[in-house]
Amino acid sequence: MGGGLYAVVFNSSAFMLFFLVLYSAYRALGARYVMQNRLLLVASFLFYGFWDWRFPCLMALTTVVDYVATGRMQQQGQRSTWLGISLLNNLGVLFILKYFEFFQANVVGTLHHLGVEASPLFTGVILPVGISFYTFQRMTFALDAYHGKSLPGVGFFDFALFVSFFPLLLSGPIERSGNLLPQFMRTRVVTSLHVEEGIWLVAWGLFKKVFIADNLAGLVNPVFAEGWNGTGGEALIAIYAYAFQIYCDFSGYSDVARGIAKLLGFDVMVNFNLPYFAANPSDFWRRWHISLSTWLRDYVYIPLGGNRHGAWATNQNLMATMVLVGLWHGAAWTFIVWGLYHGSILIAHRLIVPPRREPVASPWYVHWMSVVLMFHATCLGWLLFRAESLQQAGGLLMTMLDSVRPDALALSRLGMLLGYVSILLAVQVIQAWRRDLLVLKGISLPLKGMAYGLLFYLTVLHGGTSNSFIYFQF
Amino acid sequence: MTQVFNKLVRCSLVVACFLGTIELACRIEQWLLYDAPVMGMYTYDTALFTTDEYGIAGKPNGAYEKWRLNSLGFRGPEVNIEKHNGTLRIACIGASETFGLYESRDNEWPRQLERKLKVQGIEAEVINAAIAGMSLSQRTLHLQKRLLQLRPDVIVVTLEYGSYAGLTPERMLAQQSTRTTLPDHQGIIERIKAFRAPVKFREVAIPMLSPLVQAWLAKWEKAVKLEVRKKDVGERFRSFQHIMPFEVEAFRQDLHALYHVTQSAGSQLVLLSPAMWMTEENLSSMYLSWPYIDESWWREARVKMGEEARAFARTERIQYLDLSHAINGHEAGWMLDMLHFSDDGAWQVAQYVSHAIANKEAEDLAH
Repeated sequence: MGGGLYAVVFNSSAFMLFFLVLYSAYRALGARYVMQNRLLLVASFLFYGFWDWRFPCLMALTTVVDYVATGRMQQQGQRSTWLGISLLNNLGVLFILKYFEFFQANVVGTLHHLGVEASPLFTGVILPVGISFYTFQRMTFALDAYHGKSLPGVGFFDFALFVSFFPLLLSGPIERSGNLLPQFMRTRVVTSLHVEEGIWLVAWGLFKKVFIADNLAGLVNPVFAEGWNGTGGEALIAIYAYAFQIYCDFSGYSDVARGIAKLLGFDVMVNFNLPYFAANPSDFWRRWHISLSTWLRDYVYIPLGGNRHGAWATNQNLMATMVLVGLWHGAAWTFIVWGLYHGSILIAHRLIVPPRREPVASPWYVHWMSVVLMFHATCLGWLLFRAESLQQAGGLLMTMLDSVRPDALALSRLGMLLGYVSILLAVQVIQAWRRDLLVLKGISLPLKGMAYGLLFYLTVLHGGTSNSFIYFQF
Repeated sequence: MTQVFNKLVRCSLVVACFLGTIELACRIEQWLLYDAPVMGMYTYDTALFTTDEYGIAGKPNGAYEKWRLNSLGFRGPEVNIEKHNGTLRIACIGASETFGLYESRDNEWPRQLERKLKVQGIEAEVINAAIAGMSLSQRTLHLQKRLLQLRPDVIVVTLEYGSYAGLTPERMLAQQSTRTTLPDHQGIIERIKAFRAPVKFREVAIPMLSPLVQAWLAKWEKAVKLEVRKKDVGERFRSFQHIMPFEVEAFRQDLHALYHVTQSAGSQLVLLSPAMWMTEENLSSMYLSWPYIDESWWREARVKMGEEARAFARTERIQYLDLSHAINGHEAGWMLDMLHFSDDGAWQVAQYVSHAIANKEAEDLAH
């Protein structure tokens, strides 16, 4: 990733200043939504340009190509050609910037093993932050148009704002053109409910990111650092901690993004729905990074045939989709193996518990045992995901299998982990119980004040320090 | 109208609960970490200091955040009244630069001096008897009334000059008849100090801001405080510009008094002149604590009172160390303002003083 020196991220004071100025101007424009859109567009490009001035240039160029290609799709007989151009524009750029070096290194390595010496074509490519997110988001416009679901009257500036909308730009959620674009094309009404929900989402998201994820990094990073030589207990706690770190980091970002969008008057899709309460792999992927998993379901899994051509083909489609999920996260074997692993457990689950038309209710203890089991299966996946290499993942797994004992260090780290996640777990139990992610709805004013006070105390006075989010690298 | 009023009441309720929760959380945290009282005052002054018939004293077993006092009210570990045979007992007297303001726990220079002497093979027990804000005459009284019972072998006194600024015979008399008191916590600023959340917020949140914003905030805060100080002091602001003969005379008299007290107790006296890092920034910050004193006075005091102390030490054959030499050339890394040390600076001072003490010990043994 480039930039960083002047990076404006949600948990920085620079962003607060940026947003305050923008929001004041935005609200001052009242119901003039076209002007508001122009303001958001300029702000979004500026926001992205803080990272590196080349990033918005690339985004602008590819957006123009995509808009023109999608427009030409209306012409009879050339739809496939223009879709091809659009896909080449999106996936080609993504491949060169994100995957080419990985692909090149593997080819050069393989040739070397075969006794052929080859040198890399080029190295040191800067990966624009958030490129996977906005590329996938932009692709929905062209793919929907190809399938005849194009939106009428979408102007270039509306489309450019849809691609660059700053709350979602760096880490999603990956919105659909059908959901977000119509909201840009009408007057938006910011009600007190929007403001209330928006503030809560921002506060809760920052709490998850700054207090939980950034503090848990202290338990995780040393274990994955080079030369670490600790106990199995320590490694196990680090994996548990990473499960919460990545969840709070990513879902925290999504919450802040949704909150900011809400304050601006937009409804953005939910990206996480209590994923560690999932009872099986399918359930997990219905709750984790929902915007990506539904994107891949709609634009990859179903077009591949989905579950319409028998068990064998379904399993193949599942595996292909999950490998893509892995690859989407990054160009490394650990991500591919992570995708394969999730594909395998999805298939295994389908084999053990074949899908039924009518869901069968399990006894509560069976359900909770499944939740615990699924959490551990997810943690095993996180080990692959977080490791720098497959060797490191294997080494840590062996250490855990060899020497998981409740030693003093592991117990103290477990205490720290529970301390950091206790409020999250308590809130999520309430969310699961009420089947409502907005916990503040319906609670009294003093309690609301106290809840915000506690979040402020923990986030601002006891938060960790990091100027990045884990998912920026994807 | 009623609607607006209701809205106002609801907002106030939320804000009150919001702020109350933060304040309560800060108090519970301090209770857990420092055993601080959940209710009542908990400030540096109230938690660490008290007054008796001789003026300000350390509070026995007082504790405030990183600062811990022993049962005698001195910073550091417990001290037995009876000293062990073969142990060199050193009492360090001074103000905040000796007490340790910015140094991390157990890294103020007297503590580091003890460790340094042990490394040099001298079994020493160093008592940090410094109390922030004491004048030289108060230090002598403090020594005489509270420290001599411990029969220190060596008494290291860090000198100060600020309390002599503008001193006249009349003012000196008035000072002697006035009893020193702690802040009464009745003023608005003192009452604000009773809230713990703002202090915590300042400590934690401000360093999280960008350096540019931090610098701007610090500059703004200093300017505001300075304006308040200027208003308080009126025309007398920066009115002491040159050292007056009486000020030097009073300083000399206090040195004599100190010397006589140490002589009568049979202790060896070591005088330390303060390290003074006189940058424009540091000198302007001094107006917050010493609004009457112009920077030219500080510059003259450093030279004239330093010379006076050096001459006095030469005449009375006592050790005199200029701490400016200990930190010379490294002020930016070893000092955090005009008078106070960082951990590294305190280590340099400890090293400087330990060499002098070790050399004197070696000389005494040779004799």
